[in-house]
Order: sequence, then structure tokens, then C-alpha cells
Amino acid sequence: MIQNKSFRDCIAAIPEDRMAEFELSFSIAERIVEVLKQKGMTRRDLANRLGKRESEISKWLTGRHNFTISTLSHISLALRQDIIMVTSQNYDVANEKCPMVAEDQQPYGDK
Amino acid sequence: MRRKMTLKTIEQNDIVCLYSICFEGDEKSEFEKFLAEFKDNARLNKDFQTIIFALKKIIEKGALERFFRMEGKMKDSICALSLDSRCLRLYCLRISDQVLILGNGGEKVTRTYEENEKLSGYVLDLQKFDFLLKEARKNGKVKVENNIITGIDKTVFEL
Repeated sequence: MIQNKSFRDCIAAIPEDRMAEFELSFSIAERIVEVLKQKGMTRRDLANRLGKRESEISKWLTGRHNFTISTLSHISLALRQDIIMVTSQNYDVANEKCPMVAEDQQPYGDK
Repeated sequence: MRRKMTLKTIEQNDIVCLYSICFEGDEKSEFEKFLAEFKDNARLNKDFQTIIFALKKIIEKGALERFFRMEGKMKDSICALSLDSRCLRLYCLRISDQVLILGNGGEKVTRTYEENEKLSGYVLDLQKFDFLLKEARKNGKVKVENNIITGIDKTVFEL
């Protein structure tokens, strides 16, 4: 295996939040590719169902597109398959801690 | 004026090999020059990091066609990595899913790359190299075998 130090340094310099954003965009594109393959559909088929140009579908599949909620829902409908799933976490706001907020910033409960 | 160049291996694993063209007398390959020019550019930071991330994924998955925008002419294999229609792009020569040759790149502020002297120079270098590589393969000087170009380290091309 050969690696280039300058290139690897550039990868390491990508901040965590941006890396997470890139990974998500890429995963969504990969999911669309996977579903197209499962259903035996081409980009053109998807483009026709959505009333779009094939070139726009190609842009989506590069893995670098910033999808809107609206676009994702239309794609899911066109493919008749969910592209992303949203997990829900039910918690009692008055008594439970919000897992995304730091300990000293918890808005509710005894302090 | 004819320039001599070789191919430098940038990254290689079982899935893919990334090469870059390196002109005689230059310490850095064209791709390394691209990195040096844009890695600290605050204005194009996101574009640059997007391209770096794209290359990271290419190393993990292969140089799959869908990762690229086609550029150049119909008869060549020139493509580009960029973020949607934004400005910064890196020009490449996609030989196969397993072999990618990285050129240089820059900010595209004109409608076509041909209208920009610097960018059209980078694309022209890759187009010429594409032609020379096809000749070298036809003559048996080099061979593309899965994820490597055998014989390439001994071969000097003249653009």
C-alpha cells in the first residue's frame, strides 16, 4: 500500500462536522444507487419518473450533492422505496436529559 | 517546446491506484501542486475539502464513473472532480475503475475551461498524455493490469 503524505494531511485537516456532512451526502447517493440496482432501474428511468434531466441525476450520484428534504421525498416516491430513515427517540422532556446537550446546559430537571 | 514527464504513484491499494503526471525538473507532481496551491485557500476551502473527500472515497470504492463529471471531448477520458457546479475543479484521466491519473486544477470562472488559459493547459496536458498512453499500450511499452500500469516507472513521455 502506498500513501501520499500531503494528501493524507489534507484528509486529516477536514473538520469533524464537515466530514460528517460529506459522509451523509455520500451515503445517500450510495443508497440511491443501491435501490436503482435492486429495482433494475437506470438513471434515465429515475429522471423520467421525476421529470428531470439525466444529467441532474448523475450530479446527485457523485456523492457530493446537498440534497433537500423535498428532493429526498420525491426520490423516495419515485423509487417507491425510502432512501433515508429518521430514528425517533421518545423522552420525557420534563424529567429526562436531552442526550445532545452538555451536562451543565440541561434545560430541565433539578440542577 | 516538448516537455518530458513521468507518472508518479500517489496512492495505491488493492482497489485502485492513483497516479499523477510529473514534469521533468519538477519536484512535485501536478496533483501535489494542486494540493499546495489550494489547501490553505480560505475562500475555496469547502470546495477543496469536497474534492479531497471525493478522492478518499475513490480510494475506498474505486474510481467509479459516477463519481466524476465528464469534461474534455467525447473521444478522451478526461473528467473532473468538483462540488456540483461550483468553481474549483481537479482534472483527471480515468483509465478504469482501478486506475486514475490526477492532473492539476483550479478555479473555473469562465463558462468553459477552454476560455481559461490555465485550466485549458491542464486539460490539454491530460489529453496529450491520454494519447501517448494509448500509444504506449498499443506498442506494449506499458500494460494496464487491474490496479497498476506495469512498466510505467521506466517510461518517460514527451508532451
